[in-house]
Parts: sequence; structure tokens; C-alpha cells
Amino acid sequence: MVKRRSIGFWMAALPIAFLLAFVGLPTVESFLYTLGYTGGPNAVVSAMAQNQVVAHHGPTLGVYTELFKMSPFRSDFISTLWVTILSVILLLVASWVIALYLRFSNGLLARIASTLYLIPMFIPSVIASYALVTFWNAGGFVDALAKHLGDPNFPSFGYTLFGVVIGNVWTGLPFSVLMLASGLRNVPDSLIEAARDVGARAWTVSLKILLPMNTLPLVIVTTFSCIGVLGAYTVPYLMGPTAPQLLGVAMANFFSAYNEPQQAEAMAVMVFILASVVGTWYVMANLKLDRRSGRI
Amino acid sequence: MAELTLRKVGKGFGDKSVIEGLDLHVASGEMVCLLGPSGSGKTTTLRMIGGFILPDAGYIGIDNVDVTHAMPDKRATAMVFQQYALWPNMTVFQNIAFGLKLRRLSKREICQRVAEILDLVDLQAYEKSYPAQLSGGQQQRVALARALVLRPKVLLLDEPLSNLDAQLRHKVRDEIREIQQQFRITTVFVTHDQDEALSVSDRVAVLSNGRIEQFDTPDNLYRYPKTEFVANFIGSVNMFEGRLANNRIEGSGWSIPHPSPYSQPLHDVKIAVRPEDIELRHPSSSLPTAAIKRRIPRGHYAELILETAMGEMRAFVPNEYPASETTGFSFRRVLVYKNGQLIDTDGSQVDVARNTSGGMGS
Repeated sequence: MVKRRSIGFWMAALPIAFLLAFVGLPTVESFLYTLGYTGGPNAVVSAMAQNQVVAHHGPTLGVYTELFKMSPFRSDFISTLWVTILSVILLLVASWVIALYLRFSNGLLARIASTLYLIPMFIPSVIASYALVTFWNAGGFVDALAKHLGDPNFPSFGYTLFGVVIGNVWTGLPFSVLMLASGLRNVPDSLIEAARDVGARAWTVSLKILLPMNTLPLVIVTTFSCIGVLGAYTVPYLMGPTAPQLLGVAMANFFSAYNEPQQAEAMAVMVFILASVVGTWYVMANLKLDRRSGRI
Repeated sequence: MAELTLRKVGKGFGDKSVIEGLDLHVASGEMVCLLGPSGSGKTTTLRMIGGFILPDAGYIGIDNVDVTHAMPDKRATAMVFQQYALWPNMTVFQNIAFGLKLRRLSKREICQRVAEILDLVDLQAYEKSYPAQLSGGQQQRVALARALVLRPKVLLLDEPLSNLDAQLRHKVRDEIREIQQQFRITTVFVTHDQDEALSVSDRVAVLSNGRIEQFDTPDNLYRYPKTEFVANFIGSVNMFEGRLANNRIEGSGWSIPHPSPYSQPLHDVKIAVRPEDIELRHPSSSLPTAAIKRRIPRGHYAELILETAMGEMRAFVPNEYPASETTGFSFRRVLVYKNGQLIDTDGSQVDVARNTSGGMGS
């Protein structure tokens, strides 16, 4: 028994040690760097960096306060939150509608749709972003169509924050439809029929039965989409405006173009804190579901 | 209380016809069971009554109101599903109150009606529990309460006991019958378990291949099964092939005296004898004999497997029946079938005599 336990420990120890060495240590090191510790493992990066805040008498939050004093950064921060929230809401609504359609339709159109929604998964986001910009930009397909139909002032979404939202929805759609459709497939027909039997219409069935019964897939989609959008780089870089920028793009600029890695890492810590909030909500929601289903 | 009428109802899926010209009339306050093997169309019939499947042909009426093409929420029925179908995201109270909320009843009335129905199914202490925290029997009672709280005119039960263990099944089925009697609610109950059907129903409709073979009281179904299928499906039966001639039923190497109302000989008849209608006697020259192959204890009685000239037979005997290797036997009652239809039966004792040409002793 003891031998078996030690085998288990050593099997787990290797990947854990790997993670600690290659992910944990740099994370701690970066976090300490944002608190002003420029020595030790941070000595090399701090020797080359600009505009550093250095801790003289214990840790300092100077770099964070400096960042929030900058109006462009505040704008970037708020834009990131706004784009994240809107992207996730639109993604959830679109995926939910598609998943409902796939669950309750058996026709040819539904079979085609069940293949089509996976397509974005196989198109690299760089290519998809350029395609979307071309589609939505001034002089693009939508603009040309609007002009043809007599509306010369139709808004162009290329290089706007809303364009980034469209790009995020496009890239996130396959995963989220996959999750929600699979969740809906697990709802037995009898539960839906029981609701119809007591007088529930389609809308009520969707809202009061299917939605709460798919809490777990919804929580997973929300969590992963939120975290994905918060740290996204390719889509906001290619489809977003020059200013405000999303934090993923701002981080890259601060790190390389402005040579301010401490500020870039502070932004990463902020994104991590935001993602942790979402992650905590995910864990709490899971616990609640487990309690309700009698597993704990 | 309401009458339920099905007239010439038909339903097919693709090229396959599942129900053909089905007629059924359930009287007000009656409990009727749809009984049949898998694929006989009993669940399809129930789902058509509930509005979950629309019939291709025919008429379905509740109290003479045509509901043939009405959606489930537009007809005065409530269904208890096979897998209970309780919404796992709602507590017991919420499950039961859901339909009442949709009917926009006041909060006070909802609470009062839910409390009444929980009292009826003896689940007052569980109103805040989630379905996953309840046992199978309790979940079934919640499902029943959810249907009854809406005060439907017709209650539909789709194999409601099939997920319960044997002991609990007996208890819950008695509870269902008690509640049905208390409310005198017209009920249609689907099951493939004949014991269940015979013990709770006022009448039973035996279905086979989408048609009703017989719609009768449990006693009549058992004593006078109108078709060979019903005789085989309800209870145990010993079935032999033969022909009716000269006031005898004759087979290969055996014959039974049988007062026949037919003047002409009838070939290819089948005779059915219930195991309890086989009377075992001391072997004698006037009686056919059987070898006792096996004795199977059945609790308060025993089943004997007999080897006879007519083939293998099953007989029910009291537990105290003395063990022996051979026995004589006679039949108390036989049912005679021609082309699958009951043509002759009688309640008097039918003696079995040795066939002069070959005898029938084993």
C-alpha cells in the first residue's frame, strides 16, 4: 500500500516540478518585479528596461498607480472590460440560439448548420481576422452592399472595438456551440415534454428548464470565453483600433515597442486578477451544482 | 371526472404503421390499463392521448371535446413519465408549483395547493429537497403530485413503476390506486407488467401490433381470453394443438372428451389450460399419466413441470402436495381456439381419457 502510494507521488511529482520550474517560478518572479523588486532573477530584465519603479523600503504598488494615472491606459482597461463583457454576452446568445436549433431540428438545414458552426475552428484567427476586416471595413462587402442599397452612411466595423467583438464571437463560436449543444443533448425529452404538459411554451421551456439545466456548460463557456477574450492578442491587434487598445495588444507594445516590461507585467497581473475572479465564480458555481445534484 | 374516447385512431412512423383503427372508451372515473409487449403501440397510444404525438387518423375526445390535434398544454390531461421527469434544477415545491405558476395563480393559492398535494403523497418534509436527494419511490410520488396538482380531467401514467424495485413497486401501485379512487380521476396507465395491470385497473386493454386484442375486466381477461394472444400473454397457460371431432379434442396420440357445439369436425384447433386448472390425481387406468420432471417453489404454492404425451405442461399445486415420480391428471376447464379466436369454453370438469389407439401416458 505504502509502495503504491509512493509510486503515485513520484508520478505526480515530475509534472508538478516541471510546472513549478517553468511556469510557477517566472510567475512569482514577474509578480515581484511589478512590486519593484528589480534584483535577483529580475536583474537582467531590469538592466535594460525603462521607466521602472524600484522598491527601496519594501514592496511598492507604484507601477500600478502610475499606470492608472495614465488616461490612455484607463481607456484601454475599460475598453478591455467592455469588449469582454459584450463579446461573452453576444457569444452566449448566438451559441444558445444555434444550440437550441440543433437540439430541436432534424431537417437538412439543421444538419448543414451542425457542420457549418465548426468551420471557424479550422480557420486560423489571423486569416479570419483579415477576412472579417475586409468584410466589415469601409469599402468592404457590407459597406459596398449598403451603398448599393442607398445607405452611404452605414457604419464600418473594421478597426473598431465592435469589430473586435465580432472577431471574438467568430473565434469563440465553435467551442461554445459545441459545449451548449452537447449540454442540451443531455436533457432528456421527457423533461421538456413534462414542461409542455404543465403548460409551458417554448420560451418558458428554454428559460426555466433548459437554461438552468445547462448551467455547467454555460459557466464553462462564460469562464473560458472571458479568460480568452481578456488575454486575446491576434483578433484585437488585427481588427481593433489604434486607440484604445485592448490589454493584450497594450501589453505587447509596452513589453517590446516601449521597452517597459514592468508595466507590461503589471497589466498581466491585472488580467490574471480579472481571470481569477471569473475562475472563482466557476469553482463556486460548480460546487453549487454538485450540492444540488447530491454529489457533495 | 371525464370520459375519454378514441375512435379509429391511426398512427404510423415512416412506412411503418404503429396503431391501426384503434377504438377505446374510458368511462368517467375509470382506471384503464394499456397492456402489451414492447412495440405493441401502448406508449404511442398514451402519447397521442397526451398530445405529444398527433394521430394520422381518427378522433380523440375528452368529455366530447375534440382534442385530436391539440397541443399538450391545450388539453385537460397530465402525464406521469416513466423516468419521473422531475426538473433537477427545481426543489420538490418548485416542481409541483411550476404548472400553477404558469396558470398565474396567486402565491397564496399556489402554496395552499402544493401543501395539500404534498400532504396527500406524504412528502411534506421534502418540499425543499432537490430530486437528486430523494429515493426512487419519493421521486415517483412527486411526479404524481405534480400531475395531480393541476387537477386534470384525465391522468396518464407511462410505466410509472418500471424503475422501482419489486417491493416498492407494490407499495406505490397501491398508493396510486388509492389516490385514483379518492379523486375518481379518469386514468390511463401503460405497463408491460400484467400483474400490475390486473391488480390496479378497472379494465385492461391488451394491445398487440397496434390493435386492441381485448378490452375487458381483469377477471374476464384471465378467465375468458378472447384470443390466443391474450391467453398466452395474461397469466400462464398450457397450449396444445389438436382437432374437434365427435365431441372430443384429439391430438397426435391423445384425445379429450369435450362436448362440442359444432356438428362438423374442426381441424387445427388449439386448447389452452391454465396451470391451476390441471387437477392431479392418483394414477389409475382411467386417467392419463404424467411424469413429474421438476418442482419449482413459488412461495405459497409450487409449480410442477409435467412430461405428458401432449408435451410439457405446467401445473400449480399446494406446497404440501406429496412428492412422487408419476401422477394421473385431468382438466377442470379448457379454452378452445380456432384461428387464434376463442370458440369454445366451459366451466365444468373436462375429463381426459386414454386414446384407444395409442394412449397418452408417458
